[in-house]
Amino acid sequence: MTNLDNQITQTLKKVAGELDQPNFVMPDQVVAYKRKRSRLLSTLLLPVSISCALLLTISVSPTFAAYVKSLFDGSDQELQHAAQEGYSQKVNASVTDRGYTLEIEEILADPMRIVAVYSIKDQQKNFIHPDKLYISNVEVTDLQGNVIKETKSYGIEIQENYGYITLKKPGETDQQKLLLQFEGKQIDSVEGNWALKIPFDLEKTTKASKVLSIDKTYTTPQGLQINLNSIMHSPTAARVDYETKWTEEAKKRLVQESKQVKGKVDSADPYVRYDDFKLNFHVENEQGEIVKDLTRALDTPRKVVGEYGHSNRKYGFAPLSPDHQYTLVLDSLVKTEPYELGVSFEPKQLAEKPVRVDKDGKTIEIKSVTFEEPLNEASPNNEKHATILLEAYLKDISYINIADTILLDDDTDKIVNRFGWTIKDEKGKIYNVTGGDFKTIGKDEQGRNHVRIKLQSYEMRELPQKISLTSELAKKSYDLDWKVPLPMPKEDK
Amino acid sequence: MKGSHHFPIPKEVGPIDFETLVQPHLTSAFRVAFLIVHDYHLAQDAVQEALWEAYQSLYRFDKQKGSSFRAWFIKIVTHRALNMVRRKKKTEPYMDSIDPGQNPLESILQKEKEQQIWRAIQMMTPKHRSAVILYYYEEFSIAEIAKILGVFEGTVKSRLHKARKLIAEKMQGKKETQIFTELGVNMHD
Repeated sequence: MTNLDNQITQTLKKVAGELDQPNFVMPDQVVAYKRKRSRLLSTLLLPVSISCALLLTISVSPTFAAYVKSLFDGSDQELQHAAQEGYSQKVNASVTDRGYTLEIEEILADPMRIVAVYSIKDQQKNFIHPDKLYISNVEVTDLQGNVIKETKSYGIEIQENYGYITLKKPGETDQQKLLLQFEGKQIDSVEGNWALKIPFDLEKTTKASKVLSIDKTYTTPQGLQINLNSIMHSPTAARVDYETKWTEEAKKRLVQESKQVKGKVDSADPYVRYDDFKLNFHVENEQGEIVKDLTRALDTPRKVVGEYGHSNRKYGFAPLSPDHQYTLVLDSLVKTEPYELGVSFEPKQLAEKPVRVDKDGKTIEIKSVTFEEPLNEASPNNEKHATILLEAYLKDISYINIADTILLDDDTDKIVNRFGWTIKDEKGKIYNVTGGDFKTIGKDEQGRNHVRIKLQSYEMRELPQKISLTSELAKKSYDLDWKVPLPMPKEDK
Repeated sequence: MKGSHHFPIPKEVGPIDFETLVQPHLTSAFRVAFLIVHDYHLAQDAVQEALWEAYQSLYRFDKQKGSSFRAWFIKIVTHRALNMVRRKKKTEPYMDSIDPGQNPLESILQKEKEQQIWRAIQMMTPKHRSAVILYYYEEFSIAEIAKILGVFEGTVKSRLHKARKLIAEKMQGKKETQIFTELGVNMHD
């Protein structure tokens, strides 16, 4: 690489590195409910089989030497801090195959998460971009080889020459000594076997973690009773554990609401949305400074405690400094409710101006119906499809699902009902929504949320004379303001 | 039609769901899209569309031996981003040359050289720009970029060559301006 080449790379990295990543709608969230418990149905094909992976087991002796310099220094602040406090474990385990060396250099593990730093080098010891590794398996086992299931999900962040791979929830096991298994099947275009088994220890970080009781209760005006059980302080994060259940009155209201939503299967029984809500929290110090939210990094699914939505949930954030006092603030409750939206229009009308409908305090404006030209031949999907663009002004509505939500039978896994947008033409033909987007633009002068919705259908290949759009559910946001001081661990002196 | 599947519900169950598969590449995908369209919201749209497309076409990826998921997903993102540029051009005059004063990202590029490089990249045609981004930012090989863009390797090489020349010229031009300014000749209005 010439000097100019290096400068181009550095410039692009600087520009791109400044961007905050927006949130994206995950298409596999199309399937969200089961009759009794909620889970994602969509598990997809794994492109490379992992069943016959030959594990090149390596003998590794992690050194728990005093902290000198850590690869976490260039990482998130909370990981940096934990490494500086001596919780990072130097590993330096490597495996070489087909001229490439995969190395795990350092691990930071506590009861909240495990973060391992890896790198790839070629024969000349040049770093290869960590993205070039096709990871085929990552899991944590105990020393007997039993997989700790909760640690299955992972995320990767790339910084310079290193990949930071995160596994969540190692705390669900009582075992302190565990093994991280990390396998790759392809580096760049070269297929091979790179498999490492790295022992690591949770003892030190578990000792440094404290669970303190909170025990405060609050009932929202919507009838959701929240009990803050405890807070866990660990070297890399803090997490509040809370329980939710509906009051008797709220349960009756939810049953009533379920009858207002028919879904797309006429014969289906009503589905009561006891679990379909989200609480939004933040933590601030006495100066009003907000603590970094780690919900994504520590995300854990709720645990069912009892019937009617009685469940245990968690909210995670960065570790708290002993120099400050902190308060947990409950900002809002977002609840999925019946919410009728409907508009019929003739696409030809749009040539003159957008079609606007005002009804019951809701405004919908159909902006356009366009047909995408086939993309470049190299694109995997070059089919012609329709895109309907609309904007709406809706009070307190924070989100409307684009994809269908499918209700499954718990025992048979058969579809019981589906909820979502319906696109119908003048002949009654229904076009399924096969893509789209929801974006909040801001608020209008009446304080309503201004949203932009894009509905796409690969099934609509030509323009119908008339189109009708309907939706019967939306996420409604209720502002709340419940504040609870958070207990801090007493320093052991 | 009622009750029919329109989203691909997988026939075989694997241990990784779509989000797990795609999540590690989202940051990089969004950045690639942004560097191509240099508009935050359009880049967001491009990646969102790419997510739907990847989800619906995942069965096609399975057939594509020898291509990593990352390369396959970035290919979709790149095409969606290029499509955004084309759409943007149709609806409004495309600002290929951006007023540096209006570009907040320039403030983070402290060095004069970096600002010149970024401006030169912004001023390139989208097809040259995408080759530059895939090569220099994503560090794909020439062969991989050829696959992603659906062109011959020679075309990628020639686009990169032209792009480098453009950047060098932009930097050289600036140098000349500086020399003239030092000599007391004001080149600007």
